[in-house]
Amino acid sequence: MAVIEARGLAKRFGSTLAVDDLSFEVRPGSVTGFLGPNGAGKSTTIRLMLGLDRGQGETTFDGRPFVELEHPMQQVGALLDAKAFHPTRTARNHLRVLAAASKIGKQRADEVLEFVGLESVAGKKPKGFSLGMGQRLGLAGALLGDPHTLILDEPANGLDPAGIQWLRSFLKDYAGRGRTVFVSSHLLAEMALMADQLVVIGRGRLITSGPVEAFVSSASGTAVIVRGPDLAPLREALDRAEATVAELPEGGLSVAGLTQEEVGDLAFDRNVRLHELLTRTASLEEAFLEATAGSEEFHLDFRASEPGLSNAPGGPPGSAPPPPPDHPGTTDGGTR
Amino acid sequence: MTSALKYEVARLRTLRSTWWLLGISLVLSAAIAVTLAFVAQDNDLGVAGQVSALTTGSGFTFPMPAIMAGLVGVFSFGHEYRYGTIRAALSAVPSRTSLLVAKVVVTAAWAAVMAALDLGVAYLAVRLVPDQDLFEEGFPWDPVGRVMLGFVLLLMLWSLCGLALAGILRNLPAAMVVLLVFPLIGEVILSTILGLVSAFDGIAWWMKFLPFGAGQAMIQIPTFFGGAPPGFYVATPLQGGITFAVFTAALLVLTGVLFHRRDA
Repeated sequence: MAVIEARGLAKRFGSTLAVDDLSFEVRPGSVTGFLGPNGAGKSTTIRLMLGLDRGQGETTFDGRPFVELEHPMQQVGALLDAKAFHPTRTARNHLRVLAAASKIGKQRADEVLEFVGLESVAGKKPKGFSLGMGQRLGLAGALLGDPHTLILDEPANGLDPAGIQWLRSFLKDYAGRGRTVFVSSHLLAEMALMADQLVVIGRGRLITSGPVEAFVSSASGTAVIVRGPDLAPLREALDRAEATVAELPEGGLSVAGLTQEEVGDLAFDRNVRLHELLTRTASLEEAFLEATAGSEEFHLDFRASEPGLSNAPGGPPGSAPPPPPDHPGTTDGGTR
Repeated sequence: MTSALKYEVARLRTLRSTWWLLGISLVLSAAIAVTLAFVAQDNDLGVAGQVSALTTGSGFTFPMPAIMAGLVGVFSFGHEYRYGTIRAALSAVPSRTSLLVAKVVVTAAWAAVMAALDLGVAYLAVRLVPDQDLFEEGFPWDPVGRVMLGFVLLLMLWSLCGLALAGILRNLPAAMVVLLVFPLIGEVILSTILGLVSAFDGIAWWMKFLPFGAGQAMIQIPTFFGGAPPGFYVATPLQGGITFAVFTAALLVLTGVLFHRRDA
């Protein structure tokens, strides 16, 4: 079971520092998501990890750099580009070429093609493959050597909803067997469902790494919501406890800096009657946008290109876009 | 190294272009050989006829199989960059030295096989023509045996030039254009101008070392046209072979340096 250790990764393209002294660790047994805004350096980082791009720093897989691994495809499977195949070489032959270099039997190509659902086009030339089919073929290539580590760059791109669901359950199961999965994606809702750990970067620098729950709960959108007929005594106690308290427009208080249990105990001590006590957890998207604010390489400025529009859709200028309707901030521990 | 060689053999074998380039080369060889065999029914073509029949008309025209071999070399690196498979290749064979050496070895070996098959097909094609007497008196080592060996070496070096150009340029169409335009047009125009203008006499002598033209000296028969015209200088087969080999080696060294320095 491999531990990936990236230390001091750095890469410069001309005057642009794409990856800046980036260090992190990826442990087996969980899916580690690799997040960052467009142009943050995710793909460059992955290429640096595999020795494909020239830069500084070192990445080891159980203590050994990728270039020193014997038959690396049997240890680390990588999906880098969705459509990296010769258009007139059949899908089966594409995999057999890779298998030939990795001491992998020819029949393994058919096994992985069947696994990713491409068995019916195994003998077809991939020039007509959709993006999703290309992703599946790339994933088949990554799985060819049954590696203990998977490194996937945006594997959900182009997959249909069923494909995304399949990918999610596959990766969770793969990691559940004690293997290492490191996957980059910009689909935050998908990552929220898939990842256990996160490495978040912006402008090539590490913003945070650790469990998803810790990342989300550290966001300012995470707060304890309290409602009741008379919250004045509780408000006084909260202020004394140095909690950050805000009054909600619809009534009630939003409390940050204390846990739900601590707020409940304070209310009990002050004999305050509560009608509602719950923790509102920020969505991964909210936490991500908060963490990466200002580190986007490319900004959307609707006003610049559309003089008639005064506001970006979904909110006032500068505000974060609202979460998609099917992925609102989650709540837990409510006492409604 | 074994892994890299296996990768490269599988890569070459599973490409359609490998086979249609070989097919074109064989058809050309057979067609020219048969044509010369028919001509030889009523004319004494001598050893020049033998050489030309065996080596795709190299006695009187540019040997087209060299271009086919060159394209095999271009595709070796060119396809990897054009379709983004170089990263998958380096994920399977992370040692860039191993991958480059494997490409050089397999491409050169395939070009040698192409040349040998061309020679064999040409020989059989002539033998199938009734009443031909082109091969009746056997093959003298000089020039026929020497040219046959030169033909094999020429195709190998052309294939490696193609490989090196694609590795340097990382652009398949550009590598193809350079490979075809420089030797077939650029060198010809340059040596023609310098050969015709007497003011360039001192320089013209050096034009025999233009690499692709020099390489062609390996398969030349000086007596076929009665020698080079005044003002034109032709390298000996040995001079030409060494010149072309050194040029190819220099290109390969540059390819290796750039392949190690650049991002995949």
